[in-house]
Formats: sequence, C-alpha cells, structure tokens
Amino acid sequence: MRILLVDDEEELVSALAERLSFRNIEADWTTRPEEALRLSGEREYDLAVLDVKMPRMSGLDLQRRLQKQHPGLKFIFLTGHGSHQDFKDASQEAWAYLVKPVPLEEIIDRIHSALASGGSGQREGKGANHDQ
Amino acid sequence: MALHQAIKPQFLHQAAAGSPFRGMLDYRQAWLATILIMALVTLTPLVVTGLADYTITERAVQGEARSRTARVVSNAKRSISNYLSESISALDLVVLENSADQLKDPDRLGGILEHLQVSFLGFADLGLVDQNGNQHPYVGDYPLDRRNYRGEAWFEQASRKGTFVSDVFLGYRGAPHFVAVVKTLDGGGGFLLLRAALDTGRFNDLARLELIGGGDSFIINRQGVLQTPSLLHGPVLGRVKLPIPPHSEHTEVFETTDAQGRSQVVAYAYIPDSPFILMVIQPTDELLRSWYTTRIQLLAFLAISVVLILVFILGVATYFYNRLHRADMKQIAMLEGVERINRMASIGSLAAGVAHEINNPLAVIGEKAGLIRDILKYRPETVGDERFQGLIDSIQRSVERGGTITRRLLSFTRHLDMRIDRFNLAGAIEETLGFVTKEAEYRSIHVQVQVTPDTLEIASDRGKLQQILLNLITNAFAAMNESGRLDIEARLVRPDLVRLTVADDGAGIPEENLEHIFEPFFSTKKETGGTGLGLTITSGLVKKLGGVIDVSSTVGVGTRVTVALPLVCRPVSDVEEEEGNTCGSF
Repeated sequence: MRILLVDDEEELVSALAERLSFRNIEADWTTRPEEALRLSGEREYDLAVLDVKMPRMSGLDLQRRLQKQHPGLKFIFLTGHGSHQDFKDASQEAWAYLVKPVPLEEIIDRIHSALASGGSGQREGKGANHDQ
Repeated sequence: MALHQAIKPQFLHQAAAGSPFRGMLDYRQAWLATILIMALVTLTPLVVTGLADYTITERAVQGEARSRTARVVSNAKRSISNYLSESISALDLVVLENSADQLKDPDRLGGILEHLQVSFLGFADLGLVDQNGNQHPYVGDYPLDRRNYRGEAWFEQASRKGTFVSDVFLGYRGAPHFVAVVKTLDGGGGFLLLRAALDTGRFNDLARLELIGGGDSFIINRQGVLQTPSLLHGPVLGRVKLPIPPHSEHTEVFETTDAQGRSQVVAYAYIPDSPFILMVIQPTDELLRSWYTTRIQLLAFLAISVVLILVFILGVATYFYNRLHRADMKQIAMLEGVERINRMASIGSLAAGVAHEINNPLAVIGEKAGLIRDILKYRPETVGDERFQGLIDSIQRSVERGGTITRRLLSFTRHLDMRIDRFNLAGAIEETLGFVTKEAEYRSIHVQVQVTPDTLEIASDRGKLQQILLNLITNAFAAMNESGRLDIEARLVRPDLVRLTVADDGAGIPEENLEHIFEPFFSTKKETGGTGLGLTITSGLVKKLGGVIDVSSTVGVGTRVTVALPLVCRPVSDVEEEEGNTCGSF
C-alpha cells in the first residue's frame, strides 16, 4: 500500500508520514502540489491524502489533476477550515473529508475502508465524515 | 408627574457618552433655543398688548378722575354764581320796585329786609348809602346807621360799576360776611347804593362739596385769602398755602404736589362778577384708588398668564425634546450594538481562516506527540535525545502559533470602549493582516504593506484602528479576484498627521454609488448577506479617532480609501463630552 500525503504544513505532513510508516503504510509526502503531480507521475499510489487549501493550487484542483493521471486513485481530504463550502465541494470528490486535528487511527481507518471498497474513488452515498 | 420633572429635560446635565455616532444634536442648546423662540413669539404680543392696555386704561382713569373733579367744580361754580346773581337780582328788584323816597323810609326798608330774609337765605342787614358815603337808613342788628363809607374800596367800585360783591370780611360786627351792593338813581341827579350784608352760612354750604374720593373744597379771593373754611388750609380769612391760579373763564384742572410731595389734582373756577375763586383739591391716590385695584388685577393676570405660558412652553419643549433624545439615544445604542456586532461579524467572516490557523498547529501538535509515542513504542533504541528535542520544540512552536492567533482574536474583540495607547503602527497593521494572510495566500492576493517611517508610532485606539483596517481590507478582498494586489500604506504626511491608504485593484465602485457608500444600510451585497453598515461604522470609527475618511474609485481599476488620522489622539475634553470619548481632530 502506497500513499501520497500533500499538505503545506511540513511539520504535520512529515510526522504523519513517519507515523504511517511505523504502521507499515508506505507514505510519500510533499508540501507543494507541483511536486505531488511529479511524484504521482513517477510512482503508482493507492490513495492520496490532500489538504483542501494550499497556496497556488487548491486541494480540489490537485485532486482533479491527479485523478486525470490515475483514474483509480482514491482521495481523502484534510482541512483546517471546515467551511461549509469546502465540505460540499470536497465530499463530492473524496472518500472522506476530515477536519484537523484528526487522530491517526481515524485516518488509517479511512484509508483501509477506502482501499477495501475498491471501485472508484468516490464513496457510495456521498456521505463523508464531517464531525468537528 | 411633578412639575419640575415635567419641565426639566433628562439631558440637561447628561454628558454624551462615548460613541462614534454622538454629536448628532446639541439637545440642551436646541431645547433652550426652542423655549426662547416660543417664549418670545407668545409673550411679546401678550406683554405688548398688556402694557398698552395698562397705559390706555391708566390714562382713561386719570382723565376720567380729572374730568369728574372738573365737573363737580363746574357745577358748584354755577350754583355759587347763581346764588350771588340771585342776591344781586333781589336787590335790583328792590330798587326797581321802590322809589328813592320809599327806600329812604326805614320802616319800608325794614319790611323789605324781612321779605328778603324769607325769600332768600343769608341776608343779614340792609342799608342805603348816599353818594357821599353816608348810610341811612340802616336796618339790621348792628349799629351801622349813619356810618360813612366814603373812601372805602367797595364804595368806590360800586359807585363806578353799578353792582358789587365784596370779599368776605369781619367788619364791625366781627363775624365773617360779605356785602352785595346795587346802584340806583336818586331824584336829584345823584345816586344811592343799596347795600346788603350776607352771612356766609349759605355761601359756605355751597363751597363745601361732596367729593367722591375725599379732598378739600373752598373759596378764596384773588389775594389768596380763604373765603370759606378749608380742611387743609384752615379757617376763614386764613391764607392758602397755594399759588393763586391764573385767571380763566372756564374750569381748569392741573396736577401738583402737596408739601409732603404727594400728588394731588387741583381744579378751580373763577366765579364771574365776584372776587371769588372756587378751588377743589383731591389727592391723586384717592381719585385713582379704584384704578389701583384694577391695576393689580391687570398685572396679576398678566403675570399669571406669563407664568402659565412659560410652564406650558417648558413642558411641551421638554416633552418633545425628551422624546427626541430618547429616540436618538435608542438609535445610538442600536448603532453601538451594531458596531459591536460588526466587530464580531468581522471575526465570524474570518472564522474559517482563524480555524485553519488554530487547527493546523493543533494537528502538528497531535502528530508530533503521536510520533514521540510511536518512537517510544516501536523503536526506542534507534532514536537519540536530539530527535525528541526537535519534536518537542516543534510542539512548542505550534502551541505558540495557536496562542498568537487566540491572543490576537481576544485583543480584537475586547476593548469596545475608547482606550488611547501609543503603539507601533506597522505592528498593528501586521497583526490585523494576520487575520487575512491565509485568505490572501489561497486567493493569491498579493498584499504589500509600507509604513514610512517604519518605526512610526501613533497614539490612538489600537482596537478601533484595527477594526477600521480590517473592515477596509475585507471590503477590498470582497471586490478583488484571484491574483489581485492590495497596497496598504501609512505615511507621516505632516508632523501631526498620518495618512493611511488601502488601495485595491478590484471591481471598483460605480460613481452613482460612491456618494452613498457611507449611508447606513446602503449595500450592493444584500443578497449575499451584506448589512450596508460596514462603511457607516468604519466612518464612525474614523471620526471617533479624530480623523477623516475619503474614498475614490474607478470601475475596473480599483478603489482607494484614504484615512487621515491625528498622530496623537487627544481626547476632546469638552463639557459636552466625557473625557476620552472622541479624539480631537487634527
């Protein structure tokens, strides 16, 4: 299982990657959307965890471009915002929409259930976790 | 409601409390002006008519009193004149009806006297005086037969004029009397004088007048000697202490003062064909007594009317100004509430950004702490203290980051009341921008700040200045698209004046809207939740800091808002304003 983590908070994304690796989930991370596109071009990922709001390119834009590269790729959105509009936009496109701070176990749960579901990146019923 | 409550306005001693919307109306001044104008408009005609009425009535009453006195004198003059001419006529009749010889008969003369005494009052005696002044015969109670009057004044005058009435005198008999004389022809070409003495009883009666309002009436001769007794000037033949009034055919009235300085009305009439002058003296006070009562009533009525009108005006003015004041106070309170809401709403609209700013460090803290736990659990032996140290530092930095934003929020929402501090302007601008940097980043809006000089310090209300800035910045952001540019500039343009400019390259404001943008509830964003109060409040806040705000805009080019502020905000310590409410303008 290989996961791509994209968030402009380096301290967050690096620690998250390391903690996932302890749990045998291989995770690459980057703080820049361009880098994420480059990485996904080089390697095959099962799932991408994206920050919704990032400078220059929003998580949603990045998601659309990654989807184009890898139609089977699944997505989980992370956000510090939790604005209603973000939730509406992101929950259309992703398996899960999680508001920071999120316990690692929850992220792992979501990753597992996303990957277990197979099929497209979108979760059935368009439901999403939006507990704050 | 007690009277003083009804006429004393609530705002009389109330200083305007702090608010950017104060100073709408100086109630005390407007209230006073209204009262003055209303009082002037209502009282002037009342007082003028009242005083005119007073003067006219006073003159009429005085004129009436004088003419009443004159009438009394005039009537009495006629009575006395009649009395004298009756006496003379009686004597004329005697000399017509009797020949000289008959008159010389003492018995006949005695009979005539008896008849006269029956028909006319006052005849005391009767004598016939020949042209040499010898009196014979004489009938009467005194020994005056064969007395010679030649050389006496009355003899001369009677001889010349034909009739004569004398002054009152004592004569031989020692009692006051006067004589009436008529002339008739003697048979031998000479003349005879029929002389009658009249006692003063009837004469005194005629002179003693019934005077309404008191006073004195008497007769004097032309030398000022009393001919009848006077209440004020003494008995008969005394001298009056008055100048002898000039001769007049008619009854005359004049005013003078007595020895005590009291005003008195004097009326007099010369009795024709006699030496007598009838005089009436009445004290003015007595004559005008009824007027004085009326005058008090008139003045009291005027005074009561004035007081009632003033109370009414005060009451009405106070009532309306109280209502106006209450309504304004309510509006001010409402606007202050709106100001508070605006401040909270600014934060509300930034909530997403603020949440991001707090949630991100929290997430970092969570992951770093989780990582420490993971390391201890999975690979405690492989990691050195340095690694832990770095993770803990990272946690502390994140805590500091979260703390900064909550402190900033608190400082922004606190201090609604005016508080003047000295602070670094660049720092305050930076802090305000902290609320919007994330939004700017996501929307790729380039924010440029320039403070000249960069150490510029300003003494003002930091919270209000930041609210002004935040309102202007969020307005600018709302007008801007992705990749816009926002320039914030602060410059010391005069030793006492700072100019703060917020310029965007957004949509701009159409000219027809530009003049309305400070009006309350003017909004072009009503559908999207605009209240139309943002710039109203901002302009109120600027005023409160003693500044002025100006907006220039071109559609499609951008909007530039300039706020000029005094470098040092000096609280206006006007009597009207509580200290520290508002800054004095530069």
